[in-house]
Amino acid sequence: MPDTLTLLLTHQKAPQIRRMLNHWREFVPVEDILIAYGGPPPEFRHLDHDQRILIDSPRLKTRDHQRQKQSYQDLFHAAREWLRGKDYRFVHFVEYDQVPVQKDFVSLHLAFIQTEACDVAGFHVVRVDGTSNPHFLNHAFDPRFANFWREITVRENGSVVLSMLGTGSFWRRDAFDAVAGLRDTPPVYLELFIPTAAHHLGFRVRGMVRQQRFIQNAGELQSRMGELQAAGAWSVHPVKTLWDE
Amino acid sequence: MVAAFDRLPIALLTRIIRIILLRCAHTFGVRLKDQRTGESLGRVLIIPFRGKLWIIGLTASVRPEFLPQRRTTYWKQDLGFSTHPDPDFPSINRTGVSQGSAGRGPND
Repeated sequence: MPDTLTLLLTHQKAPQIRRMLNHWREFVPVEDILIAYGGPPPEFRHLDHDQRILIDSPRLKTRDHQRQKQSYQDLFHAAREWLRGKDYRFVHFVEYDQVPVQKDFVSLHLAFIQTEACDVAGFHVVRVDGTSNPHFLNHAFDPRFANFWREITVRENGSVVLSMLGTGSFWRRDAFDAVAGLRDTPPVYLELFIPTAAHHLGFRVRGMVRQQRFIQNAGELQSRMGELQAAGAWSVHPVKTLWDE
Repeated sequence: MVAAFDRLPIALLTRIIRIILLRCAHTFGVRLKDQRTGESLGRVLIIPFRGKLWIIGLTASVRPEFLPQRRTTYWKQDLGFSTHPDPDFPSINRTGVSQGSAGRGPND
């Protein structure tokens, strides 16, 4: 029985995605990879991979991601629909430039989820409500932001806001389905929306603190992949150029 | 010199000023300490402006808070900054616990 679906978001061209899948097949069965394609629709037809969905969403295709409040809701929802009726128990969401380097990285994630008894495991998970966090402060200006969490929360404190890097996260299926099922949400940047929604729906969100030095929000780590793997990295981000010729 | 500045696009000029200001903040600014962990939060410039304070160069996500005092003083209070603890809330769905029960996390 398949256990973990890898939900791989990319906007690269077909030849690059072929190389990407060749790398990934050394880590997970390729049939357990669902490509979520955010590139141009004509290119989508050229992808040589059966498990794929086209995400033609203006909320995904932002230029200034933070200020335009980029959202993965349409992507998560499309993946949820694709998953309907399938037996996957976990979902590993990952952007194309977060690259696995440890052979057993899926089982390492699963062990983390079990040990922490959590539902969502991510990187750079922090609580930001009431702080100087620029994303929080900008969202706090919009009353719909606080109202939304108060409306959906199953917790006592509806004011908690979490932030998590959007590049990759590991989910129990029920948590993923619940967050992906939220529709017509107010504009909230994905790094706030995803962990905060999971939290207020009652799920436990934990940060993989020991791994987060390998997951950075800027730069290019392709030349350091071997070194970081030796240092204990499960995966590395950002590696944007590995798929180029 | 003035003519050279005239030719610079406003956006570029703003960017240059911001970079210089941040460099000054991180070099000459006041050193802040996380009141919860004791760790350094780096250097920042604090500038009073229209009844508020501009904090320039702060990179951590911190909460401002007036600090408890050993003695009662009417002339001075300390304003400090602290981060939240790492999020460690229980899973309500999985454990069936409700808020206020034994499953309550340290952040609640």
